[in-house]
Amino acid sequence: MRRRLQKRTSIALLLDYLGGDYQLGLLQAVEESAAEHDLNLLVAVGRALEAPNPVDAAQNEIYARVGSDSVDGVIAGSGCIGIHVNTDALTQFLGRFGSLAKCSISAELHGIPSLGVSNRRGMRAMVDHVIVTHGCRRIAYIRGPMGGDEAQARFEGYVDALASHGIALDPHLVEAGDFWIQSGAEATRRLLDRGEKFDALVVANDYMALGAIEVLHDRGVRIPQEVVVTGFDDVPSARIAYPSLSTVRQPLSRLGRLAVETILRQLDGQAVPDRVELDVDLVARQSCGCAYRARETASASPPPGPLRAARDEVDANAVALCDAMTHCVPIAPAALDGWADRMLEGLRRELAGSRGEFLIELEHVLDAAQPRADVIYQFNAVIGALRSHFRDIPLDPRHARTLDDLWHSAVLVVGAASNRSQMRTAFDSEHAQDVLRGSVERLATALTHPALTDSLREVLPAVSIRSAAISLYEDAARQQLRAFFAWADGKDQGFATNVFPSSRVAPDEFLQTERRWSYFLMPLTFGSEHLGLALFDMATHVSVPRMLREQIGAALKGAALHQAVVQQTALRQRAERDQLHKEMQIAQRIQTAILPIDISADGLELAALMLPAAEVGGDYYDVLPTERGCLIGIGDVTGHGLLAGLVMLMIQGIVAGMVAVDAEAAPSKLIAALNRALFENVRHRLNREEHATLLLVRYDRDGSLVFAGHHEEIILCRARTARCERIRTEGFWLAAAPDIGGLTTDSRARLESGDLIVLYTDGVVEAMSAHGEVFGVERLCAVIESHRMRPVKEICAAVAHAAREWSPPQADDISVLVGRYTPPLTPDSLRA
Amino acid sequence: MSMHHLNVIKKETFSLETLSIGGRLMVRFTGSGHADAAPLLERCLKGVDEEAARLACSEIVVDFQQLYFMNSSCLKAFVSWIYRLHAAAKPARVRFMSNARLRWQESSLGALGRLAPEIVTIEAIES
Repeated sequence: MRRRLQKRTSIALLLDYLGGDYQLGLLQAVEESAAEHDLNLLVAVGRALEAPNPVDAAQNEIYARVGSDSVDGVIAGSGCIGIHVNTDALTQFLGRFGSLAKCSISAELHGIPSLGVSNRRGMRAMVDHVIVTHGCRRIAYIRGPMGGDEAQARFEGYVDALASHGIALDPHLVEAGDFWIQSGAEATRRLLDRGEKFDALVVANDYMALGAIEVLHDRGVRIPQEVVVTGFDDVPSARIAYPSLSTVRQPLSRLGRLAVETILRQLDGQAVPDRVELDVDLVARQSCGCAYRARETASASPPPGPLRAARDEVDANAVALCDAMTHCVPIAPAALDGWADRMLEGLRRELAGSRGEFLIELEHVLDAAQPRADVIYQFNAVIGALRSHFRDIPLDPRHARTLDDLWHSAVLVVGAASNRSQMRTAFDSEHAQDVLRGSVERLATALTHPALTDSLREVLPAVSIRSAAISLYEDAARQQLRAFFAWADGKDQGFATNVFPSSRVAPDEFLQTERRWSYFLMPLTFGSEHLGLALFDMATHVSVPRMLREQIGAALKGAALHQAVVQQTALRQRAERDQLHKEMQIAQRIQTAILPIDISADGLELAALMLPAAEVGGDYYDVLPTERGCLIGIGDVTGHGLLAGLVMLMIQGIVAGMVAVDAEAAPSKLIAALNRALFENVRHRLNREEHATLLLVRYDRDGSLVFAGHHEEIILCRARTARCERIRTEGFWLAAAPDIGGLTTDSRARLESGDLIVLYTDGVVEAMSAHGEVFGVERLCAVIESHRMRPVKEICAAVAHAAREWSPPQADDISVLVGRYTPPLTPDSLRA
Repeated sequence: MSMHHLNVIKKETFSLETLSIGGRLMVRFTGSGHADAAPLLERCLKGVDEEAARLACSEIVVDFQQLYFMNSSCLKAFVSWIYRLHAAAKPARVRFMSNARLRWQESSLGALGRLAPEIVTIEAIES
C-alpha cells in the first residue's frame, strides 16, 4: 500500500555524483520540469552501482532509503549509476522500488519505461564524419566500461561505421576506460606508448576525450592536424576545452523533461511506451577541424549592406522561423518570455540596414538567460537554425556572405556569453567553497553534538542553505532514524518526531509543508561506516552540499570518537578508583591489623587509637614492652595509599626486630639504624621518595623518658600545674637522607605522678576547618587539659573527636596515644 | 638590578611566584599547601631547578613568610628538592625566609636545614 506523507506528488531522481556535467544537466532538466508540474523532488545522490571502492559502495545505500514512504515515482539516471553493471542488474535494482512509478534514463530495461538516445547511431554518425569529412582511416577508439550497455552500444556504432567504409577493426587501436577523465588519459598513454599510429581518436564519452586531449598535448601531438579527437555527450566542459571538443550531443533537457512526464503519466494510469529514443546531434568543433574551416569562410566575407530579399523572407515566414528557433531552446526560463519574437525583430531591423541591431537584441536575450550556461549554449542551435533557413533562400552572393558574417558574429556573441556564464559559475563555486573551507575548522572542532548543531546554525546561512535536515541512524540495522538537526527557512526547527522509520528520510514535519520542495538526499558516512542521512535544499551551488556532507560526516565521527574517548576515560578512571579503593582497603587492613593489642606498661596507663582516613595516610604507633618499661613509637609516612602503608609496615617490622635484639638500645641508635635500612628500601629498591616522621620514646618505670627522632611535639600534661608542656623533637625525617646518625640525638624528660604523656600525628593538629584554619597544638592542649582527670581512653577519644569535629570530612589519619604515669610504690609514698 | 617575572602558579588557596633579581632567584609562596597541591609543587620545584641553572643563579631565596600551612606531602616535595640540589655538582645555596610566628615552619624548616646544612640557611623574620 502506498503511503503518502504529502498531498503534493513527490518524485525521486537517482544520481551517482553531484558535479558531473551529465548529472547536472539531467538534474537541472528534471528540477525545472518538476517545478513546472508542481512536484516535490528528492535527488538521492549515491555512487555508481557495484562501485569497486567500498567507501563508494557504502554511499549507495542511499538508494535503499528511497521508497513509497517518501516519493511516488523514481527516475534513475541509469547512464551514470549503472556504468559498472549490465541491464539485468539495473532491472533488478529498479525492481526494488516495487509499485512506484519508474523511469530509466539511458539504459533500456525490461518492463521499465526507459528513455534514451541512439548511442549506436550517434557513434556511427561521428565515425562516419571523421572518415568522410576528415579522411581519417586509422581510427583508434577508447571504449566505456565493460559490461555497461551504453558503452557497448557506442562501441558497436564505431564497429558499424568502420565496416561500412571497408576499414578492418584493429583490436590494437581499441583501449578500455571507465568514462572518467583519468581513464581516458591512461588509455591514450597506452596507445602512444605502444607506438600505435592513428589519425583519429574517437572516444566513448567527453570526459575521457578531455583526458585524451591532455595527454596528446603533453606528448606534442597537434589536434586536429595530426590526430582528430571526438567525444560523446556534449557536456559543458567540451565547449570550453582547447581545442573545443567535437562530440555527439545528448539532449539532456529533453530527456529530463520527458522522464518527469513519463512518471506523471504512470501515476495517472496512462500507458507509456517501453522505450523512447531521442535523436542525437553531431556537434562539430575544433577538435575534428570543422570550426577552423567555418572561420576561414567567414573571414573572407565582404562588407555588409541592405538585404531586402532576406528581410522579406523574415516578414513572410516569421511564424515558421519563430517555431524553429524556440524548438532549439525547449525549456526557456521565464525571464526569456518572447525572446524569439524580439530576436526576429532585431534581425528585421538589421536586414533593413540598421547594422548591429540583431546582435544587440541577441546580447539582451543572452543577458536575460544568465547564468544558465546550458540555455545560453542552446542559442548556438538557434543561430544554426537561422543559418540553415537562409541557406536555402536564393540571395545575391554578396548578401549571402554578409549573412554568413552575421551568423558567425552571432556565434561569437553566444560564445562570449557562454564564457561569462562559465566564469560566473566557477566564481560562485569558488566562493561557496571558500566559505565552506572557512567553516571546516568550526565543524571539525565541534566535538560534541550540541557544538556541532551550533556550528551548523552558523555555517548553513553562510553557504546560502535555507533548509536542511540531518538525522542519525538509531539502530545497527539502520531501520530507524533519530532527528538530529532540522533547519527550515533559515530557522532552527524543533520537531515532535524524534525517532522515525528510515524510509521516511526526514521527520514528517520537515517534508509535510505547503510549499513545494526540492532536496538533495545524501548519505552521511565516514569511510564505509553509515552514520545517517542529510537533506539539503538546492538553493546553493552543488559543490556546497557535496562538501558539507563530507564535513558533517567527519564531524559526527569526530564527535562520536570524542564521546567514546570520554566514556573510556571515565571507565578507566572508575577502574582506577576501584583499584585504588581496593588498595586502600588493603592498606587499612595492614595499618590497623599491625597495631598493638596490649599496650600496657608498668606504671604507665596507656590508651591509643587510630582513625584511618578514607585514603590511608601511613600513620604508625607501637608500644613494645621492655624489661624496664616500654618503647613507644609514633610516626607518619608522607603521602597516602598502599605505598605509605607499606613503608609504615617496614618501620614497624624493623623497629620491632631491633628491639627484640637489643631491648635497651638508645632511641637515637635505633632511629639511625632504621633510617639506613629504610633509605635503601625506599630510595633504591622501590625507587620512591617517601619519607617519614618517627619519634621513639623509651619509658622507664622510674618515669624517665628518653626520646629521639623527628615528629610532632611531645605534650606532657603536668598533674602538678594542670597545664600542658610542649617538647619539640629535633631529629630528622626517615628515608630522606642516607645517614642521619649525626642529626639524631637522644633527649630526655621525666614524668611525675599523675602526669600525662600525649603523642599524636599531624592528622590531629593539621586538621583543617572549612575556613582554612588548622586545629593546632594550642587547641589540642586545651582539650587535654580539660579532660586531664578522665581515664586515658576517654582522653584519646576526646582528642580524636575534637579533631574530627574541627575538620569534617577527615582528610588524614588521626592517631593519638595517651599515657598516665603512676610512680612505683615506695615506703615514702606509702607513708604519704 | 633587573627583575624578571618568570612564572606564576595559582591554586585556590596556594600560589607560587618566581622572580629573578640580579643573580638570585626568588620563589615566593603564599596561602596554604594542602595535599592536593603537592603534585603541582613538585613540578614547580623542578622548574625552579631549570630556571636557576639557566640563569646561573648562585642563590635561591624561598620566601615562606606568607605560607601559613604546609601538609607533609608538600614538605616531602621540599625534602626531595633539597636532596636533589645537594647532589648537584655546583649546588645553588638556598635561603628560606620563614615566618617566626608560625611554629610549624621552625620545626619543618629546621629539619630541612639539617638535611643539607652546607647549602641551606634559614632566616626567621619577625613580622
